[in-house]
Amino acid sequence: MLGYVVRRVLASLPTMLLVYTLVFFIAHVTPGSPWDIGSNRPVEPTVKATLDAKYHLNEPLHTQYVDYLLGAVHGDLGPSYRDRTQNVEDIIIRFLPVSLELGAAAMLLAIVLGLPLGALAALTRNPAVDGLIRMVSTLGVSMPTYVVTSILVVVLGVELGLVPTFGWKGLFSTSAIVPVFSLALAPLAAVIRYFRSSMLEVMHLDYIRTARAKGLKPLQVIVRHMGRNALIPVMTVVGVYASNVLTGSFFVESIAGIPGFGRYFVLAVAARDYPVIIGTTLVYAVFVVGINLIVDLSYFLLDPRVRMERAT
Amino acid sequence: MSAPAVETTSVTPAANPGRGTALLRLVRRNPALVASLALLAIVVAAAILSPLLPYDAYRQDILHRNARPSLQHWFGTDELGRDMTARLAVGARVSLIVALTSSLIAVAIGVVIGMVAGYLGGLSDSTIMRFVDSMYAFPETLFAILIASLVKGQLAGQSTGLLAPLAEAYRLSGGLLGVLLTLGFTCWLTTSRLVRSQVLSLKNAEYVLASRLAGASHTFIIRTHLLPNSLPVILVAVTFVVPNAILLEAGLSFIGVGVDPPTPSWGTMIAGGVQSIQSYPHLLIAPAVAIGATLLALNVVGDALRDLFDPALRASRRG
Repeated sequence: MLGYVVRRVLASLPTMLLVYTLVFFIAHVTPGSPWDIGSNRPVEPTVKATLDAKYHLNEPLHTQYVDYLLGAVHGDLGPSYRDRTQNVEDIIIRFLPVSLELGAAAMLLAIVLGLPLGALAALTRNPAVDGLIRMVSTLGVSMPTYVVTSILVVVLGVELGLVPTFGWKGLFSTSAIVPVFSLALAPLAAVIRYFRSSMLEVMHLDYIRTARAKGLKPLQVIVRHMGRNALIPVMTVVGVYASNVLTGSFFVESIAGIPGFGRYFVLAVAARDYPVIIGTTLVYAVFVVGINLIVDLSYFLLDPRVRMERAT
Repeated sequence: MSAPAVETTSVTPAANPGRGTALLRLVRRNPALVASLALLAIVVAAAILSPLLPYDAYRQDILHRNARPSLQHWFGTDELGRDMTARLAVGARVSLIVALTSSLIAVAIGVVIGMVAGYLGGLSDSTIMRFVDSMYAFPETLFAILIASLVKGQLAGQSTGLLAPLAEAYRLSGGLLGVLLTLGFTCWLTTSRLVRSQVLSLKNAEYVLASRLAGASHTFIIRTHLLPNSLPVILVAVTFVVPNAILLEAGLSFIGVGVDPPTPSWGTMIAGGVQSIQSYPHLLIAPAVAIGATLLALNVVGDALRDLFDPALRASRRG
């Protein structure tokens, strides 16, 4: 198992290199320099040259490419150009936790609500219940987060006045209700959908009949025998959505006024803040790779066949 | 993915006449599909007929700013007094153009890459697919934002030389060209994977081997055997790509790297509505509902199409 993790981490290094290469060149080829974007007056050429020299932007691109990479490998993601008192690491430490909290809370909500609803839709003999749950899940898959956030802010915030319309006071406050729910809706819908269909698939298999025949309680059969097996395809979907929720949070963050990582990325792109753009993207890519690894490891826990395969 | 694909292709000639009635049956059994098709028809009609609307989408009327919905202005007017109905209709046009054109670009790229990887096999295949796998680690929205600002930066300024005609087209299209290119370059990954696995399974089918033995060239085999028989898979890919393209376009416009104002797009309208969310929520609700309903309808239709083209998927969904 440890060997597997090590191999996977090593195999992700070329991926990270590709992501770095792409983001580096896309960012640097984009016209505009970090110094004259956002200010109305053109920057003095001498000032510009000094700034370029200070941040090594006057060097050839390939030198900058190698230099930044060497720094990044040693954990130095460079200074922010937009806010010159801060390093990219400071920015990550300041803004990432909020986005992570939001994303984790949303995924947790999606799983905790989605599994029972999906199971209910699969097992119920009432077609109206099944139809209703499926309709909600199709609705959830289709609604962009910014639409959901907007509507929730209007209804809960403006019309009913239950939650603040703007701002962030931590995860355990009313200001978190709208963002967490908007982010949770799409993964919730997907979890329901996939868990429902895989429960339907599993439910007629022989070992379920055996489990019932041995006299296990129905709930035990559903949770331990059906649920565990039906969870495997759901894990894949959860992984995909976890990455989406994390990297797609900037819509919610800008509408609801949350000082998160995603919002900072959008501002950095507009300001040509190269180190922040590159650093942010790399952090996101690390998370995507990490989430995929966790999902694959979860197969070990859920599926004895995978365990056997690895062991032999 | 591979086994059902073979089945589809071998069944195609016999199933062809039956496909129309199957569609009819689906419509009767699936009222949501009918409602979705009707809604999409309305959106398409609005997009095409938008010049016939009584109000112009760009005409400002400062005396009637932020009007609530009324008989004259069905969805009210925005912060510059422009008629929201007309702007929604032109926004539908933008969304549809983006959806169709960028999907075409993306699917074309995906088909070519998937076809080449699957057909050549060996080292080229593993190189290409390693690249595609790695691209999945690059968050799609971030990639789209980066590419969009790159394209925008390159084309929006005073371009000379090679890029000059493109820059002109960009200016005339109100930034639409940038979005099309961005989405085309962003959304091809899944298509390439689907097409590759289909080609891998087709490549060793008897009729392809026979064709090769008879001395057919690679282009002939690809054109007459592999491409037509990958069509169901390609259509399935289209059902994923089109809603995604609309979603991303609105997202990019929302952030401000998509369609340029004053061209109305649902994304820019939502962004504008967010500014006045406290006082004039209708400016936000109208475009939000428009895009939500359109995506919902597209997903329902996409589900139905996937059922139609992928018997294995259908079987598994029914349980």
